[in-house]
Amino acid sequence: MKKILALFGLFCFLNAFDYSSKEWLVLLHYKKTIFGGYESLIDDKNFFISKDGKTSPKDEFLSSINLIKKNPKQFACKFPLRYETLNKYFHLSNFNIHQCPKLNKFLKALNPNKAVIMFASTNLNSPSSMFGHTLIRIDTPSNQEYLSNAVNYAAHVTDTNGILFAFKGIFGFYKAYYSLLPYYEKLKEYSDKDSRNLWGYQLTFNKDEVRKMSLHIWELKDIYSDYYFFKENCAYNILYLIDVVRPSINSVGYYKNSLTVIPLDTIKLLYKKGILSKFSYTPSLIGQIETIANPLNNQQKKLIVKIANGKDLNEINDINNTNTKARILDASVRYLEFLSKKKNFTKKEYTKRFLKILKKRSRIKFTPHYKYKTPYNPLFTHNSKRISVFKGNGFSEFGLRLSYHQLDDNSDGYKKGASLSFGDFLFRDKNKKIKIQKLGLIEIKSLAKRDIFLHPISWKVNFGLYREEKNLVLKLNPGGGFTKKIKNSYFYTLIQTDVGFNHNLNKNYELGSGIEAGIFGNYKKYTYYFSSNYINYFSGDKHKKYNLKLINNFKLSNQKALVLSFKREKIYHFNNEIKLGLYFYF
Amino acid sequence: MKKLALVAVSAIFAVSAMAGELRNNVGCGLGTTLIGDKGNNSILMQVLAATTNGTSGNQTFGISSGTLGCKKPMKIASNDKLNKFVAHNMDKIAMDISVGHGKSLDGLATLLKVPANKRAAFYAKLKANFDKIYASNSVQSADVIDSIAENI
Repeated sequence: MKKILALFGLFCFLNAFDYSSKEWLVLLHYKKTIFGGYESLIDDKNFFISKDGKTSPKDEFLSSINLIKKNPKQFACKFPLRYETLNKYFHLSNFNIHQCPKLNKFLKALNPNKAVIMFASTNLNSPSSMFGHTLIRIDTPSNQEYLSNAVNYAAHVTDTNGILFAFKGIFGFYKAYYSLLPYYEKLKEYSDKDSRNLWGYQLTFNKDEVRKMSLHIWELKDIYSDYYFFKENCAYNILYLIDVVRPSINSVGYYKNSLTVIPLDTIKLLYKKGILSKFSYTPSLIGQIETIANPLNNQQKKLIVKIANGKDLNEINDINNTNTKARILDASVRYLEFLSKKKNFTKKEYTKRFLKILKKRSRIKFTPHYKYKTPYNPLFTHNSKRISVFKGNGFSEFGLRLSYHQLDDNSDGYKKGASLSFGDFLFRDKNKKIKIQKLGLIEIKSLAKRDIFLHPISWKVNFGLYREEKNLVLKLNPGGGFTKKIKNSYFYTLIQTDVGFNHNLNKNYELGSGIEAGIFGNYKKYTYYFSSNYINYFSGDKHKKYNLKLINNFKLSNQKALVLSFKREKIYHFNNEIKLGLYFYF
Repeated sequence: MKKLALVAVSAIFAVSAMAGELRNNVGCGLGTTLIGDKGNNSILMQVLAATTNGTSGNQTFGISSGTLGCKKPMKIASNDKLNKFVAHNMDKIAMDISVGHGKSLDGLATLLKVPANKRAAFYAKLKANFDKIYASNSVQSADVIDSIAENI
């Protein structure tokens, strides 16, 4: 040991590489702790050579060098990138990782050439997935997406109880693993099953760098870490695969002091670091159906639904235009696939319908390349944190929203009608007294349009402390209803209930029901959101509440907006408000 | 704070069972990856799913394992990669053949080493023979590979 230390001292003198080098720290996923020490994000003992490896980069470094000297094969075949890195600086052994049979087989199957970071956007009518998801696709030299593989980081969930699921996910009770699967499996999962659009951003890494990334993926095989939804999640852990390739990127370091890591933000960060090139877009299954069916008339669209639901194909024979026929059949088979994920029909019934449509399709010569219109690139959307400042009639306001997107924000690049906020705080300065206006903990609105193909239920839930004149009331306010798109505007109606608690209320609570209706939409840089609410509190503190609200948002830049809002409200007394201010996103 | 909020909200909703994301239901015929994979789309689940990007699959490194419980093709040298590719993409390949091109078909042609300049003709031939390739509703991946091999 002493000998190695002495040797090591010499090498340190010669090389600018030791256990405190960025290159070493990132290889073992170390981060600085608040006490100034180090700790690896990886919790699995098998990831380390030293028993103190998780907390000591130095011990791990020395033990690794020690093991390479004793048994280079054992070390190199398990930790090939670590081996190559240490050997590059210290020339410890002549062993070549090509001599590792399993690793070789792995690299041959993977055939790494290019790496693409993928962003899976919003799920259909599910703001809960609005945070999105990131994974990395490893492309082969053939550039065939169907031959690529995907690296994913996910918690291994064994519970079937929803509350347990949420609790464990948030507080680190699940083990998470990196996985590597054919990319087509991910297409099935995100694009087909979950109806999510997939964006691909190619990393500017060369072949050797992607090989390095692949070696690190090998080191992470079957290695677990504790999963924490808000920070140590998919997006954060995927960044390590990028940082090991070029430690100078240090994307993980950017989140040193953050409490949360949001997938889209990490892609924006990589873009800022200048390592993303070529963008690609894969529409979800339902997005494909919409594009294919777009030129068709309503009757033809209805025919798509009928065919997918098993109606015979005679009606299609009456159509003369072969392009139209092809479109109807191409959309029908996709809609059948879509339905098969929602409805209970047997595999036999599915296969029968599936082949009937395709047989008919194979007799039509038309072979179109459907042009899927690329929507607004998520890279250039507003960021998820928001500060607001307002001047109103007789008051000023200051607000902070921790995440993510709401109906009064410009919706470019976001799912229309999907609104999600965790932590929306608003403070009001009136007559030189600062009061809490609102501490919104969770506010979700899912207002997805209904059309021929989709029939989602719209819903909302608000939970937090809300000011009602003198009282700050703890409220839970859920609702459900429908949304319809007419021209470029979305009209929605929700039936709602509302329960609030405060010691100043009569009987300390209020319980009511009512209705919410509104219109929202945008025209270029202008976004409008009008809502009206009526709640009749029939129990506890009996009273009626009304409000009308119109918010106008003018986008000044991607991260700035001018906002003008009007409100007329009656809780106990009538009150009119007008305020003008700015939103800053960061 | 956010964590607490989310837990609080979770607790307010009624307890509900959640169907795990079982995606290992891969077979050898058409529709095997689709049917019996319903998941749970209730609103409650959507809210709860916000918390954890989870998977219940225990297959973490699925690229080098190629053995499947499917019957092997007869007319072409057994190739795990090809067998697995076709078995896992039965529906997509059928859709692409019926149209005459597509990404799954490109992947298949690459695995079959069909040169780029011969692909258009290959795809057209497969399209013309669609009824033969998919002669029965219970067609298996090995049958599809054999029929396709005849058309190279």
